[in-house]
Amino acid sequence: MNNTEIIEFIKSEHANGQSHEEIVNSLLGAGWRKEDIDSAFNTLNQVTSEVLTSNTPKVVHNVVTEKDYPISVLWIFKAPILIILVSIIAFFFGYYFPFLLILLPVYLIGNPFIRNSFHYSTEDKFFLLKQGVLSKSVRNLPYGVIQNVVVKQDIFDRVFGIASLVVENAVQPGDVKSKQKSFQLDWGKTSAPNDIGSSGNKVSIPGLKKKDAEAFKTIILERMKEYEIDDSQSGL
Amino acid sequence: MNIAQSKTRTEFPLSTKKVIKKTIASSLTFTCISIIFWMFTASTIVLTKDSSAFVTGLVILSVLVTVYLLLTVLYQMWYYSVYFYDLTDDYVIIRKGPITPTEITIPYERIQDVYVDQDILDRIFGLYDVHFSSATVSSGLAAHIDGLEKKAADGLKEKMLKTVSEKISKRRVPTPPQY
Repeated sequence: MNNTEIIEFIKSEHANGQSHEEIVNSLLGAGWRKEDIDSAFNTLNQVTSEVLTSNTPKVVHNVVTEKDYPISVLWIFKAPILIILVSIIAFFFGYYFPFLLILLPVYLIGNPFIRNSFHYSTEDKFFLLKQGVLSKSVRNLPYGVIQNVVVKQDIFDRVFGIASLVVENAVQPGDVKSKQKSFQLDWGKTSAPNDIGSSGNKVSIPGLKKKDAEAFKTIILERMKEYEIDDSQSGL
Repeated sequence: MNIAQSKTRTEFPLSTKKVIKKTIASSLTFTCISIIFWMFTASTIVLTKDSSAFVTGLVILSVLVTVYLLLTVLYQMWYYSVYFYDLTDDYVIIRKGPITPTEITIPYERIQDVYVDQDILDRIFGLYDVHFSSATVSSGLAAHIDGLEKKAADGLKEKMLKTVSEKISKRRVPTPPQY
């Protein structure tokens, strides 16, 4: 007799800490016969003893860090290139923005430091993030609370074949220090070109190769599935 | 033009009316602005009593609007063809944007809300937008499929609700076979 369905149910209920009687009652309530339930319990006892004797090897994950999927050097020059482009276009129309040009050396000197101090790694249960040149911050993001994963490219990214990976949870921005710049270049609708690291509810990893971004996305999605939290946050 | 196909898009297809609707929506604003601009300049020209400039303005206006309309149609057709959505076993994947692509992946367990809405142009064309967002702001902006006809929208919504409720129910008592 095929009892796999009922056995799976018993296993999951055991994991949730339900007692023997409660499981039997709910199965009887669903219309199962007493014999089926008893035989399922019997097979389950055999199976568990077998499992206990045979040592199942634990799945070991490779820890993915910024060395595997590095932020490309291009990222350093992204903001400067955009600034130069905007300045040139504006110059043709007879405008010029001195603020933009002041920012140019700031980006060129600052970005390598930001890039070097940015580390991430996919730890056992948390996505670990270290960032900050002067003020350091470490963020541990449990895989279970990740709400969605976004891969996006703006025009610059499209031209150079890179992409940003954004991982978001449901934190309210505000208690996490959100990066407010004096002004942001809004190139490509949603992200400032320098958007890097954790800010508010999102962790963004810019300047990955398109292929790397896709691969890393798959890894994170796998982890999310594996370390799923028990309580669903969805109210449907 | 190659249309980005997926199992879900084949089952619940995007309506081609979406292209027309989007074109109208974006050119309406442009046309209004240029007409206002033309009226503004025309009124100053009338003061100088030069009627030929008045007509030239009208010609330039109509040419501009036509060019804009053509470009928008082409862009919207492109947008329509790269619009990708798929309901896989574990995630909803939505990818859109021909020039600056954005791909969002949401696990079913994280979906907070499934709703269908229409704006005025949608009512005229009989189109529906299906939204499913997680708890983040960006998912609210990105995770929607717009321009579905009634049948596809309802089907998609039903399938979504069914999958989500299956995924989030913690206790699944198996149903016995029929004796």
